[in-house]
Amino acid sequence: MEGNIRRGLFWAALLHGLAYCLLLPAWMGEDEPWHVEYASYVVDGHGPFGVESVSKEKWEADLAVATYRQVQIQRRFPSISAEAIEGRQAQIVSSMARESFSGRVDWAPPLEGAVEFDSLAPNFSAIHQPPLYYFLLGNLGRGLGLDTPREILFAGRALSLVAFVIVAMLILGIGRRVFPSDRATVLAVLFAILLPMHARHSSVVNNDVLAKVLCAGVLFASLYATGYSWRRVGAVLVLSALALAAKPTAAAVAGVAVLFAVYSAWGSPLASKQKTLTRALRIGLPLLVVASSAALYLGSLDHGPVVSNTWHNFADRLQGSFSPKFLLELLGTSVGRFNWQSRPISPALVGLLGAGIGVLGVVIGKRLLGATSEPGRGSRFLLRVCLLFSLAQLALVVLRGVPIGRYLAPALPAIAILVGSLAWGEARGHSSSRWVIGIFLVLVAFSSYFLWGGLVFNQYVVLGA
Amino acid sequence: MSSTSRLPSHAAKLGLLLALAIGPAFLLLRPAPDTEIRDIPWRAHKGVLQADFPARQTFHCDSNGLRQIDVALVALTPSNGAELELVLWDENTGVPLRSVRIHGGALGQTGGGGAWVPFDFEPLEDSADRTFAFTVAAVQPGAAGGHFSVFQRYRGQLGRHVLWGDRSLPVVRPKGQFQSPLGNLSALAFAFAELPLKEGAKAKLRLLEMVDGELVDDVTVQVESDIDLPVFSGWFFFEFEAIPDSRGKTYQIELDLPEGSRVVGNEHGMSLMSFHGGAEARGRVDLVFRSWADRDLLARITRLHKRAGTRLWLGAAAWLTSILLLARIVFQTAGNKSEA
Repeated sequence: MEGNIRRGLFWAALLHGLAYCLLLPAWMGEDEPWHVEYASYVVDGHGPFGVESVSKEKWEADLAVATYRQVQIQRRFPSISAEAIEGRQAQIVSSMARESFSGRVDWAPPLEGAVEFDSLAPNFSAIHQPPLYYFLLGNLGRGLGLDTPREILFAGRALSLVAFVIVAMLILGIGRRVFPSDRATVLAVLFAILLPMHARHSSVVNNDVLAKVLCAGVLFASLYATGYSWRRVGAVLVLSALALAAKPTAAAVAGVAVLFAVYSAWGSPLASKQKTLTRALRIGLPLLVVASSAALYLGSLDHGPVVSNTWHNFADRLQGSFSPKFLLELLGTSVGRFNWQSRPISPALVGLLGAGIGVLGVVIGKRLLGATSEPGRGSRFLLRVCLLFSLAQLALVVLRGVPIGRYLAPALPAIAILVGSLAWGEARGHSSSRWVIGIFLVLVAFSSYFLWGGLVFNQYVVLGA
Repeated sequence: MSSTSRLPSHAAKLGLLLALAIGPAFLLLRPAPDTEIRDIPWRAHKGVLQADFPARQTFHCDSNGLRQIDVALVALTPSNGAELELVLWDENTGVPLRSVRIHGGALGQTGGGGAWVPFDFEPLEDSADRTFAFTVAAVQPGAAGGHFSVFQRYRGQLGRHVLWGDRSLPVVRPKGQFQSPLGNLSALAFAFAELPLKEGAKAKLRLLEMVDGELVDDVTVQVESDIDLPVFSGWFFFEFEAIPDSRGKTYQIELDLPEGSRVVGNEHGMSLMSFHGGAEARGRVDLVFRSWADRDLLARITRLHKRAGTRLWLGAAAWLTSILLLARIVFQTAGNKSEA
């Protein structure tokens, strides 16, 4: 691939993300107040890694004199006073009121004079989230000497823009390894740049953003080179662990690490020259590390985002998740929602996009799972890893029982690679060029509608008094 | 990559132009309310609208061609073809400008949780940057006209909400207790089966703080509210200076009402809503409504620029440049014969 194409993709990603940064008003990313609050305590010098373990009796005693949110915050940051928490929340709510938050979010009450988050959403917080993202953002803010929540918000958005560009560049790297064709690589990257709900993440303070970068990093480390080395295994494992420390919804990436170990130790052409015991160790050790770490990690969480605490809850989640309502909501929040998800795009368009996604999924699945001799054995395996990762991520969202599209975000790099495969394999020559141009035009049309007819319209034209 | 590239076909270029234009077309042409007071869900109905006591609301209009006002209405009793009238006034001169009556079918959907009812009229060509008022009232006088209620929105945060109860309490000095869930308590609304309008009579509220079930000596809040409209089956608001440290505190409520008043409640006490918000949130009880003006491209662009500023144009430039960069790469890559 020529350097000017790589540079062009870099600048296109940067400018596209920048457009969203400029056009999305402050506090208009879902849950930003809570993420900024969490990071702001790190900016103040508190470490986010120690969660104080408390007895049930102490928990209940604390709740008798403080709010649920305060107790949660003081459990993670024991040295913060109740007054400091109240002061920070008042600062953030006041900034939200100045930015016409309630004029934009339909369900939000007028926030003038509000002094606490409970005025907006009682007992809601981000403080239970894993600490990695807040550690990074907080220390960035600390290094820059940031003071106000609004400044931390914009630092977080700058971080998200950088993350957006890194994801695009990692997909470029993965594409160049997987596809011998520039067309397929370009298609994968432009999909990742233009997909609106992903592009909007370039301007939102949210730990999903970091999880997405780390998942792209795991795929890159797994797929970019051939052959087995402990250094690569280590890199994949460390990146997987970091992804989980960014957001529990990245759990599917652990499966990628295992698949990588299995393939490079057993399935790759080089592996057949190794002794059986060596190969078994190369699979078994990473598998043991991943399984035990995942079990320890998920067991340590306050509430399991993936696995329920009881069979009863698990059955409840499953029952709800296979309802048409759940699936439509998941589709709707995946393709487009505005103003804290209070304003959807038209149901007809959601239906059309859902049908399009279904058709593309069938074409991709058929191509990868069907008997085809065109892609090389290694590349076909790598594409199947991407397919499994994407399906595993979807399964996790279904198991979680919460129909929010951004929980699929960790699989975005894998999905982009799968879309890229449409321009490769059996579709050759003019046929593949039509795929690239056709998908590009559809994505531009959707991006145009989403950004101007949706995001800008809902943020600046429809503003409640 | 080979350098044998070709320019995109005319169809591809035309497709790109159309794709780029879709969003701006929606942005500029999609209908949107000029003014909107919303409250989700609608909670506080004002009470039965009567011919002699219209509900009133002022608003500022940004655009020319004001042509419709939607009012959130609910039918409190079966309407049997009753009519409602909306009158639009010039707020500064007090001159009535438009009058529109609706009945029957348009009001038929307002049962249960209520619905937006549109009052449309001949557009006012010079409505931009003017302040108007509208009133809504029943057309038929007396009980025959009173079936519908408008909804109100308090410009603050809802705290406690004891739902509309199943009984009315025929006492003029009802008492109750209430624990504030949030700080900055600044208003309380009570449900009334009836709050009559009587010469010189006022509705009075006293709040007394309680600690461990005992009353604290000082009265925390004492407020007298004028009754501007008689209330039949509606919520009435008492506003007062915000109490910053109200979170978690328990208060005894004492109401002193005109003769004939009936408060609504349940077996535990009075139905009520608490609202919270600082001093600047006082005097902010509005009707839930939205107004519409004719499509005006210039007004739409002006509104966008006013609200988004230069970020709008910088964002547009960044977005367009990124798309054109991608288009160049796509057409170059797709036209590369070495990949065929």
